[in-house]
Amino acid sequence: MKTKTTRTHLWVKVTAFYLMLPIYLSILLGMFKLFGQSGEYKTFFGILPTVVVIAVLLSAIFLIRSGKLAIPLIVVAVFLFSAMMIGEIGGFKLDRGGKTQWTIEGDFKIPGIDVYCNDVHLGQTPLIITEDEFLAKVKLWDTPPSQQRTTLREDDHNDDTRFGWAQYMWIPSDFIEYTKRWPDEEMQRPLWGGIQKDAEIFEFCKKTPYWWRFEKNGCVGLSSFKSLLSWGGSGGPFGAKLSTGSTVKFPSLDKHFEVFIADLKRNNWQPDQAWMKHFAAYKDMLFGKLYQYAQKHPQAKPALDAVVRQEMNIPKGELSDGQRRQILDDVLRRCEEKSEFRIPSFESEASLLACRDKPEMIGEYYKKSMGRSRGGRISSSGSYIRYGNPGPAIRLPVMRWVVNQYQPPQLYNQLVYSVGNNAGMSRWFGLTDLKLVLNYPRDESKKILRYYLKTKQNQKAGPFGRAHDNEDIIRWLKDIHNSALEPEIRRFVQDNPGRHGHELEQFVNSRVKHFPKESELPSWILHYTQLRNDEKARLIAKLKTDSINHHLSYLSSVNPRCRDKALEAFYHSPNRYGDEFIIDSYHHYTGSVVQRRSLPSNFIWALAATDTPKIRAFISEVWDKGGDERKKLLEGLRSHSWHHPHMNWLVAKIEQLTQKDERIIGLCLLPHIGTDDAKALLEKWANDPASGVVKEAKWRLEYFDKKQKERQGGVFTQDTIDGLLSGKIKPDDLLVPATAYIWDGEKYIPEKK
Amino acid sequence: MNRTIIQTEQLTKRFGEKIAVDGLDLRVEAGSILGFLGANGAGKTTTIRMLMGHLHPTGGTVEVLGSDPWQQNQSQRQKTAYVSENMDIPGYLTPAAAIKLNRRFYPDWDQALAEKLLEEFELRSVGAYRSLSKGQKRKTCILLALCQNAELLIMDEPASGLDVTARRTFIRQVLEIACNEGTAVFLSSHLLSDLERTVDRVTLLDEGRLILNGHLEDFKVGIRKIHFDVPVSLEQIAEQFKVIRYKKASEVETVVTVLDYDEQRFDAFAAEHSGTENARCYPMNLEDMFVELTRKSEAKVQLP
Amino acid sequence: MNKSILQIELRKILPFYITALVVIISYVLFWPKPLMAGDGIIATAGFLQGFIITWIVFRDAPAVECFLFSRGITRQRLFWNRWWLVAVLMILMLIIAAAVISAGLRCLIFVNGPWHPMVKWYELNILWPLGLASVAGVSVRLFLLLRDRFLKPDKMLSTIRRVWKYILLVAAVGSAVLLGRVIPHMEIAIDYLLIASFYVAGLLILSTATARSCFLNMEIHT
Repeated sequence: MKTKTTRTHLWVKVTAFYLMLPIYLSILLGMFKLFGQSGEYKTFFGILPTVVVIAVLLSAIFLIRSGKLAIPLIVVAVFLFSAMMIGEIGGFKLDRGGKTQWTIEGDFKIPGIDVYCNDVHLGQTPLIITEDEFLAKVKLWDTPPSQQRTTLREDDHNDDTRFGWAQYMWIPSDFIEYTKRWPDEEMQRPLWGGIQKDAEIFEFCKKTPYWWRFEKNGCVGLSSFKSLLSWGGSGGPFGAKLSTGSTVKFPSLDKHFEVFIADLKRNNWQPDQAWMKHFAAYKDMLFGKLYQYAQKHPQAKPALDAVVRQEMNIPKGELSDGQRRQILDDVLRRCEEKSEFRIPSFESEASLLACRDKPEMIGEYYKKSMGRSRGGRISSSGSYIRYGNPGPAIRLPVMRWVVNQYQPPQLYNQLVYSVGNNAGMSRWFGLTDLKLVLNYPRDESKKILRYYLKTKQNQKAGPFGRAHDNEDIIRWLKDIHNSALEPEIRRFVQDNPGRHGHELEQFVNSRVKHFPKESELPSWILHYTQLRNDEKARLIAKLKTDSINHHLSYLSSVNPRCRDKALEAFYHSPNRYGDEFIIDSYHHYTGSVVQRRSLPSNFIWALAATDTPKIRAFISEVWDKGGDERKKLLEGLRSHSWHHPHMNWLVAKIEQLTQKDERIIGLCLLPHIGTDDAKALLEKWANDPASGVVKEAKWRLEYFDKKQKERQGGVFTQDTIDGLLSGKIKPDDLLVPATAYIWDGEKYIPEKK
Repeated sequence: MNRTIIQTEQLTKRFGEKIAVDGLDLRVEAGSILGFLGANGAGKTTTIRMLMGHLHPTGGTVEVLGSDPWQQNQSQRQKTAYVSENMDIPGYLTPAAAIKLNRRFYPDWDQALAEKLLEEFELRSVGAYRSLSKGQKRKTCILLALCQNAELLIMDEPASGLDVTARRTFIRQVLEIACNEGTAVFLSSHLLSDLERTVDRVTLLDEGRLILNGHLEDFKVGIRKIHFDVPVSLEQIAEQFKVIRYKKASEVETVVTVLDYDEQRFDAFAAEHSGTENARCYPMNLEDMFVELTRKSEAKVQLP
Repeated sequence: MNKSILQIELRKILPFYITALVVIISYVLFWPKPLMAGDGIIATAGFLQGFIITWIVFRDAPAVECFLFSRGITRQRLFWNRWWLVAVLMILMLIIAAAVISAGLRCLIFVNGPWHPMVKWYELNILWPLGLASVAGVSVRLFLLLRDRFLKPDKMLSTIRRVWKYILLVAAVGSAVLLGRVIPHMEIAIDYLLIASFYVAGLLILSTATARSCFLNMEIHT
C-alpha cells in the first residue's frame, strides 16, 4: 500500500514538473536571449539573469521534491515579472562613456571602400570607429593636400564639382554640426565662374583640418565639400552616422562599364574567364550597371546570369530542389547578415533563379520566413528594404518580393488567411500581405479591395496608430499593381486625392512605372494637370490621340510638383506621343497658369532629342520671338547635358545672337552640339574681342575639347580592354585627367605641369 | 470451519496524531451476522471504510473475501454490498430507476426481491431520490444493497430513520440473507434492540481498540452484574472472574460487572468469602452490556 | 454497467456540454473573419470547456461518491469510463466543428463577405487550437482535481486558498507572453503547433497516468 501511494506521489511530482515545463523553458530561453543580447554589458546584466536562471532551476527542484504547485508558481510569477522588467531594461544601453561612434558607409552601402583621413587608413566600409580611436590615429595637417577636381554634372541648380580630398567639418565633441551650405549667390553665377569661387570655398574649409579620401579597387571616389552628418537614427543617442551617401562617386565607373561591355561584345556576349575574374573584383560597383544594361539589352542577360551564378555559387543548368533550397538559404542568410535586401542585387537575382518554374519553393520559403519574422524597424523604397537590426526579420520581406514577382497561385490562400487577423503585431504583416493578395489576378481581389477601402475610411485610428487619412491609403495603394483593380483604385484616388501632393506624386509615379501603356498614361497626365477650361479646350483640340480623348474627364488640381512629375514621365519616350505633344507641352509649361521659372529637364531632353522638321520649325519660331521666351528656351537647353549633333542648324542662330548674356548661354550649347561648325564658332569668338565673350569662349573651347576626347574615348582599343581586364590599367586611367590644384599657402591654384 | 469472509490483523488507522483504529484483529466467517458496536467516535465507520477499500490502513492488514479491498477485481467487488447512512444515490433517480441502474453492476441481482421490497417499502410510486424523506432514502439504499445477492453485506447505520415496519422488514431480510451459508453480514448500528434480534456475533470497539469479540449468546451468558451486600475487594473478585466494572456503591454495597460469569465458580467464590453467597446476579441484554463496557466512569476497569 | 455509469455521467455533463458546444460551434459558424490556426478565442474556449467538462465528470457529491465507489465496479473501470466519456465529448466537438466547416456552411452565411469564398480546407486549421487547447484543459484539470483529492482529504478548502491557486494558474498562463517572445506570433503558428502537439500529448499521457494513479489510491471519506 505504501509503495502504491509512493508511486502515485512520484507521478504527481513528475506531471507537475512537466506541466510547468513551458514556463521554465520560456523563462530560460528569454534569459539566454537577453544574456546574449547584453553584449558589452554582460557584467551588469549577466549577473541578474544568472540569478534568475538559478532561482528557476531551484524552484524546479523544489517542485519535484514537494509535488506542490503553489510555491513554485509564486516563484515563477515573481520571476516572470522580473524577466519582463529585465527585458525592458536590457535593451537600453547604459554605458554612456561618451564614446561617440561613427559609421561610415559608401553610396548604396558598397562594401570595401578604403577610407582615409589625413592619409591615415582607417579601414573599409562599413566602417565603425569611435571618436577616441579616431583622434588617436589621425593627426592634424598643417597644409591642405593637393587637390584633384572634377565636375561630374552641370545643371542650372547644382554645382556638382567634386574633389579627391573631401573636407568634413568634425568638431571633436559630443555635438555634431552641419556644414554650412553654399551661399545662395553662387547659384546665380555661370558654371565656370572662376577660381575665385574655389578659393572662397577652400578658404572656408580651411578652418577644418580633416581631409577624407575614399578609394576602391584603384578607383578614387570623389566627394563634394558638402558634408552631411546624420544625427541619431539607428545609431541612437550615442552614435552618429557619417553617411557619404551621394557625396562619394566613382567617376570612372561609366567608362569602366563601357569597357566591360565592349569586351562582352567582342566575345559575342559570352563572358570569358578574364571577364568574370575582373567583374568579381568590381562586382559591388558594376553589378547595378550590368543589371540596368541587361534590361535594355537582352543579349547581355547571359552575362548577368553568369555573374549571379558565380557570386552565389549556383551551378549551371537545371537546378534540383536541394540546390534551389540551398540558394534560397544563402540568399536569406546574406540578407540577414547585411540586414538589408536590395533590388536589384545578387540576392534578388539569385532568388528569382531559385524559384523559377518552382512555385512551391516560394510557398515553402514564404511560410518558413513567416515563422522567423517578428517585425521591427524597417525602411524601404522601391529598390531596397532595410532593417534596423540584423536578424531573421528580413526574410519575410525578401520572400514577399519573390511572391510578387511570380505570384504562385497555390500561395494565394495562405496569403488571404494570413491577412484576416488584425490584432497586435500581425496587423503590420497583415497589411503587407494584403498587398500581395491584391496583386494576384483573381476575382476575389476586387471584393477584398472594396472591403479594405471601406474599412480604412471608416476607421478612426488606422493601423499606424493615428487617425487615418487618405494620404495613408494612397501611399498604400501605390504598391498594388493589379490591372483588374486599377479602375477601382483610380476612382478612389480621384474621389479622395488627399490634402498633400507627396503621396499622390508617388502614386502617379508608380502608375507610370507599372502601367506604361499609351492608353493609360495620358489619362494620368491630364488627371493632374492644372489647367483652366480654355486651356483644357485648346489642349484637347491639339491632342490627337484617341486614348487621350477617352480620359479627358479626369482633370483636377493638385500641387504643381506632383503634376509636373506626372508630365515628366512622358518625356522618356518622346517620339511615342508625337511632335504635337511636345509642342503642346511647351505651351503648357510656358502658359500663364503654370508659371514655371524654367523648363523641366526631361522635357528639354525630349525637345532636343526629337529631330523632326516640325520640332525644328517650332524651336526656330520660339527662338525668333526673342525676349524672355528665347531666354527661357536657351536656359533650358543650356542646363541639360546632351550631345545632339543634329542640332547643328542651331549654330547659325547662335551666331546671330547679339546680347552678351544670350551669347554666353549660347556658348554653353556649342559643346553639346559638338560639330565642327560649333567648334568654329567657339574659336571665332575666342579670338574676337568684339564678341565680348572671349574668356567664356575660351573656357567653352577647353570644355569642347574635353568632351570630344571623352566621346572619342568611347571606342576602346583591344589593348585598353585587355589592360583593364588584366589589371594593368586601372579604371581611373580611362578618365581624362582632372585639373590638379595645389595649396599656395593662401589658396588653391592650378598645378602647372 | 466456515470460509473467512473478513479478516483483519492488527488493523490500525491514524489521522495525524489521532489513532482511530488501534490494532484491530477481526474475523468474520460466512454464514454469520456480526454486530459491530461502539460509541460515537470509537472507530466503527473508519474500520468499515477500510474494509470497503475507501481508506488506506496505516498499519496491519485487511482481507475481504480473500483479498485486499484495494486490489479486488470486479467480480470480487460485485460480491460486496454496502449501505451507509452517509450514502446517497444520484438525486434525479427514482427508486425504480435506481434499481434499473444498480442491477447492471451485479450479475446476480435479485429482481424479484427488488420488486417485492419496492412494494413493502412503498417506494414504487414515489418521486426522485432528492425529494424523498430521510427514511425513504434509507429504504432505497437498503433495497439496493439487499437485492445484490452479495456474499458480504456491510451496513453502517442502515436503519437510522426507518420506521418500525420498515425496520422489521429490514431485519427479516437480513436474517433471510444470513441463512445462506455463504453470506456474511457486517452490521453496525446504534439500534441495539434490533441488533440483538439479528446478530449472532458481536464486536465492540472502544476508542479504536477491540474490547469485546465473540458470540452474543456467550456474552449474554457470561456478562453479569453482581450486587454484593458486603464489601468485596477488586482483587478478591478478580481472582475468579474478569471484572469489567467495580464500584463501591456504599460502605457495604459493592457492584461488580464480570465478563465470564459461571455458577460453579461463583459458588466457589461465595464459599471463600462469607457474606457473598447472598449476592444478586443480574443478566444483561446487549444494550446493558454496551453501556457497561463503554461507559466512562471511575468504576471502569481496564480489561486485560 | 457501462450504461449505468454513462447514464450518471451524461446526466451530470449534458447541460454544460450542450451549452459549450453551442457557443463554440456558433463561433465557428458565425465568426466573420477567416478562421485560422492561431485563434486565441477558440483556444481559450476550448481550454475552458475541456477544463470544466473534466471537472464536472470527475467530481461527485461526497454522498454520491460513496455510493459510486462502493458499487460492483473497479475504480480502474470507473476512471476509464469517465476518461473515455470526456475524450468522446472532445472528439465529438471537433467532429461537429469540422463538419460545419467542411459542409461549407460558412460560405453560405458569408456569401457577400469580403473573404468569400472561404477556403474551407484552410479554415479547418481552427481544429488545431480547439483540439490542443481542449486536451490541455482536460489534462490540467484532470491532474489538479485528482491530485488535490489524493493529497488532501476532500474537505472544504477555504475560499482564499482555492482562489489563490487559480490566480497563480493565470500567472502561469501569462508565461505565454514570454513564450511569445521566442515563438513568433500566433497567426503563423502552424509549424509550431507540432511542437505544441507533442507537449500536449505528453501532458495528456502524464496527467492521465497521474490521475489514474490518484483515482485508484485516493481515500473516500464519506
